[in-house]
Amino acid sequence: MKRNISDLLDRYPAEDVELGGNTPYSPTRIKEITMKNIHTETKSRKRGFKPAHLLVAAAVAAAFTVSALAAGRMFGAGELFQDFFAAEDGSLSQGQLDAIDQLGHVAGKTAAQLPAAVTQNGATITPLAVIADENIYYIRLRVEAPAGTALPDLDGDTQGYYQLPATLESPEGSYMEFGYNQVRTILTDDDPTDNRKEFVLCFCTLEGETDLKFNDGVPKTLTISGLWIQSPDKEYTPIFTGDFIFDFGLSFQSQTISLDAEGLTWHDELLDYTNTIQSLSLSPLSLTYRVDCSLPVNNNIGPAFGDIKIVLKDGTVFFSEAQDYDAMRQYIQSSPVTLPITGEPTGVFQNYIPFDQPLDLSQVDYVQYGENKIPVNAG
Amino acid sequence: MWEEAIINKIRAGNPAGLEGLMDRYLPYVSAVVWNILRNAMSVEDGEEIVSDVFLAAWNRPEALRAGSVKAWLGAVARNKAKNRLRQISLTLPLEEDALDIPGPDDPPGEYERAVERQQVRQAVDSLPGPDREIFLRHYYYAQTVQEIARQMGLNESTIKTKLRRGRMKLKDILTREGFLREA
Repeated sequence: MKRNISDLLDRYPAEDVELGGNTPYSPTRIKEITMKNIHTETKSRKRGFKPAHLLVAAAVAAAFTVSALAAGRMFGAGELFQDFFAAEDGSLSQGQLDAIDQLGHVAGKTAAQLPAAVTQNGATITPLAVIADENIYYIRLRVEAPAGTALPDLDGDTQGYYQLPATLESPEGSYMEFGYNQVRTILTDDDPTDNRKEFVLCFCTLEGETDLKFNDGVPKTLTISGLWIQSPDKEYTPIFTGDFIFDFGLSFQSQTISLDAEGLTWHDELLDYTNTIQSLSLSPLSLTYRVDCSLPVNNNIGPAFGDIKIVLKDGTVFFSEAQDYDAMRQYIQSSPVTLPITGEPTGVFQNYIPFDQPLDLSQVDYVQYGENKIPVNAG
Repeated sequence: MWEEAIINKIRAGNPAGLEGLMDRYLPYVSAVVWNILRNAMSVEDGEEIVSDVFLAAWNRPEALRAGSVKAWLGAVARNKAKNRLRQISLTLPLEEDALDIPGPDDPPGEYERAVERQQVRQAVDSLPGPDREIFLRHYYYAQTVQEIARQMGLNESTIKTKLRRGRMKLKDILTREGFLREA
C-alpha cells in the first residue's frame, strides 16, 4: 500500500515554523479580495430579471407583518429559490422548480417546520425556505432591520457591501469532521427604501475532507451575529447585532438517483491512466462520483475525474467538463515528470460536482463519461 | 491576550477582527500557500487561496482557539492549497513522498485512520528537534531541500539524510501498525 507522507501529515498539528522567504503574492490585493469577499460572498445580484410571481410575493410581504409565512403559503421552495438560481440565466423550467420543491422545506407550507423568526434589538431574521442534498445546503432568509432603518441596494464600488456573518454547527460528535465552505448572496430588492433584504446562504461540504451530510436529519444550528456594512474605505458599520440562532433539525427527501455506471472507464490519453467508476449518482444539486484510479502515485501529478457531460432529452448539454491536455502538456514540459509514470496505482477516491442551476432529473437523457454513454431514466 | 481579542471580534462579526488577523498572519499563510503551489497556478489564483483561508476563519470563528490560531491557519492554508493542486491533477514534488507500507489496499475506515493519525504523530514527535523541523518543513510545509538548507544553515546532503531518517521512522511505525491490522 503506497501512502504519500505529505497526505499522512494532513492531520498533524502544525508547528510554529518560521518559513521566511518572499512570495510573489500581494498582501494589499489579498486584503482587498478578502474584505470584498465577505460580501461578494454577499454579492449583489443584478437588478432586472424578476419573475412576476416574486413581485407578487413582494407585495404580499409588504402587506403582512409575518411575510415569511405569507410567502410560504403561496409558494413552494422552487419558486422561492428561482430568482437565486436563475438571476443570470433566465427563469427555471417547471421541472427544475418541481425538483427544488421536492428537495426543500418552506416556512408554513411543509409538514416539517422551519425554525421560527428570531427578533433581537429590534431586528428580525426569518428563515423562508431551505433545500439540501448530501453535499449542499441552501437557506433563504429575510432580514428586517429595526423600524426606520432603510436597507437600500448598495453599489459595491461606491457604497460598500452588506455582511451577514453566519456559522453552521451540529451537536458535538455528530460527524468526525465538520467542514464546509460558505457563500452568501443578497437577492435583488424591489423596495430599496424599506428595512428588508433577503439573503441566500449556501453551505458546501469540503470535498474529500468531511463526513458532514446536509440532508441526513442531523440537527444543524445556524447562528447569525448581525448585519454590517463595509464601506469602500473598509470602515465597518453595524446595522444591528445579536445572536440570531436557528435550529434546523430537518430531514430532506433525497432525490438522488444512482446510475448504472459501475465498471465504466475513462482513459487519460496523455498520462495513460484509467479511472473505473465504482459509483455515480445525480441529484438536482450535484453529481457525486467514486472511482478507482490507476494513475501511479507520484510526486507531481494527481488524478482527475475525467471527461463528463450531462445531456438532456432535448439535446441541451446541462454540464460539461473535460481534461485540459494542453495545460497538462505545458506543465509536464516545465516539470521533472517523465512519461510514462510508473508505480503503485492511486486507488479509490470520492468527490462531487455542484451545479449552478438545479437539474431536472426527469429531463436527463444520458451522462457521457469518456466514451461511455450512461442512459438515465429518472421517470 | 491579543488572539483572544481578535477571536472575540471575529465571533462578534466585526470585520476589524479579520483585518487584524491578516495584518499579523498574512505573510505566514502566503508562504504556506506559495510553497505548495509555486508556479503551478497564477499569482492571482494563489492570492485567492490565501484569501480563502482568512474567509474560512471568518466563517468558522468557533474553530479558532487562542494560542493556536497560527497553527489553524497554517493547516487550513495547506489543505486548501493541496486540494487546489489536486483539482488540476498535480501533487507536491517532494523527496520520495510515496511510502510503501505493508497492509490492505482497501481505503482505511474511520478507526484505522484515527489510529494512523496517532501513529504518524508518534513517529514525527519521536524525531529529535532539528530533524523534526526539517521533516515538517519539507513534507508538511513543502519547502525544497535547498530552501531548508539555506534557512537552517545546513548543507543539502545533511537535509537529505535527515529526511531519509524521518521516512524510515515513519515507515517503521506504520509498518508495525499495518502488521497489527492484518493480525
